[in-house]
Amino acid sequence: MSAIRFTDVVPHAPPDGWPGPISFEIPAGTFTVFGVGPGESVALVRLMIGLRSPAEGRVEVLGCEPGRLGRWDGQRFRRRLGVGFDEPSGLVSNLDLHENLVIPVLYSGLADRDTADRKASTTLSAFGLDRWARSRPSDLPPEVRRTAVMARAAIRDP
Amino acid sequence: VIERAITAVGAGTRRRFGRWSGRIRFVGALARSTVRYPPTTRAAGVRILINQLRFTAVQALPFLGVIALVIGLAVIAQASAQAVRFGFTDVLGLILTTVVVRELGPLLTAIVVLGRSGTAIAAELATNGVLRETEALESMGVDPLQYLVVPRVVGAAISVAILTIFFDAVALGGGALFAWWMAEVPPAALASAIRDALTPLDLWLTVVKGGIFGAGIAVLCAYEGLVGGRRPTDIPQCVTRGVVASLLFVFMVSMSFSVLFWLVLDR
Repeated sequence: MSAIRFTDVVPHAPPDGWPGPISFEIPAGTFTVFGVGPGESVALVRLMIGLRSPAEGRVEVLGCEPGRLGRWDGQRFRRRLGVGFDEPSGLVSNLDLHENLVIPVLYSGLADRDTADRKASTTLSAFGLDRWARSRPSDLPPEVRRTAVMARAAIRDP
Repeated sequence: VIERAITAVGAGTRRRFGRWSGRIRFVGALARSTVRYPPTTRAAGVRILINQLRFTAVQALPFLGVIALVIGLAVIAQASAQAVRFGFTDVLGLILTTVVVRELGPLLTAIVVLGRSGTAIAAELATNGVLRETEALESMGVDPLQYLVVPRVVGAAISVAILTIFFDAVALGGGALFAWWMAEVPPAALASAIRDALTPLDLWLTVVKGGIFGAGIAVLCAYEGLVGGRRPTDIPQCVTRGVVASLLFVFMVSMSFSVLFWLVLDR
């Protein structure tokens, strides 16, 4: 079974370097690395999680077309995934790292505050980020920020 | 040349219409987000709300107090001078109530809040967009309207309603003292005249008007911040668009309330 399938996909306003219609398939349970530039990787991620629909072609992820989902179905779909960006990291700048991990759990309606706090602490420990828990993103070294993005992506067991 | 001019006018009209229809759609989306607000997020939402109230209401008190005092003194100074000259000191209370409580209080409070907090909301949300924070929230399935906008709109609405009452109290109090000092109108007489002129409906409508102004300012500035922030150079433009739209909104609503008072309530 394929987890992700792109068929002749072209995004709206494709970034420089987009090679034309692209097709690929990623089977479930595999690890894949794309050798693409930052603009293309962001465009790919937006298409995969349904923040953009393709101008041409078809994108299927976990058996559905994310770009065709409505607002609430799209949100429910994205809660099943873990996504992180490189710089700018997208960590909420006026919250500390612990709160940054709590927000996705709370706002998904998945858990109450205490459970979200516990889950955030456990995830920060698992990623070796305990000592940064009360630091804001701007105070973190870049490599720690990247790890924090992965921790946030992993907190809901995608 | 004529064709180009007509095309430019048409394109400008279409752009402005598109922007206002976008704002109206945004209000609809915001209403749906509010109805679906997840119960698990109340604590987080309340914290943002408290921050908004502290910044918008509490920190604005000294500045708004000075403005209210100056306006109260100016209105009463002008009105007292004419009242003494033409012998209508008995309607001073009515003039103060009409001008300050119904019109200037909500209007000036809204403009002060727009200058302090509306601009901050637009700039903050546009910065969130530039730093990709809004997109990161969306990518996690978090509704940015629920997290970023709903608490700010509620906070701004409550703040402007409260600040309007504060403005009215300071302006009327300051005006009464000034009338006593300069025009020798006894404070008790003026207070009694204000009490007679002021009805509970005036107070309620002032609060409602303040709430509408606050919510409108927050919605319009949040909209501009959310849709406009792509590059750092977009941030000042988002703020400018938010301020212009909010000013237009505030003046139009203020005029509508005045016409409503005049036509429906005959006051």
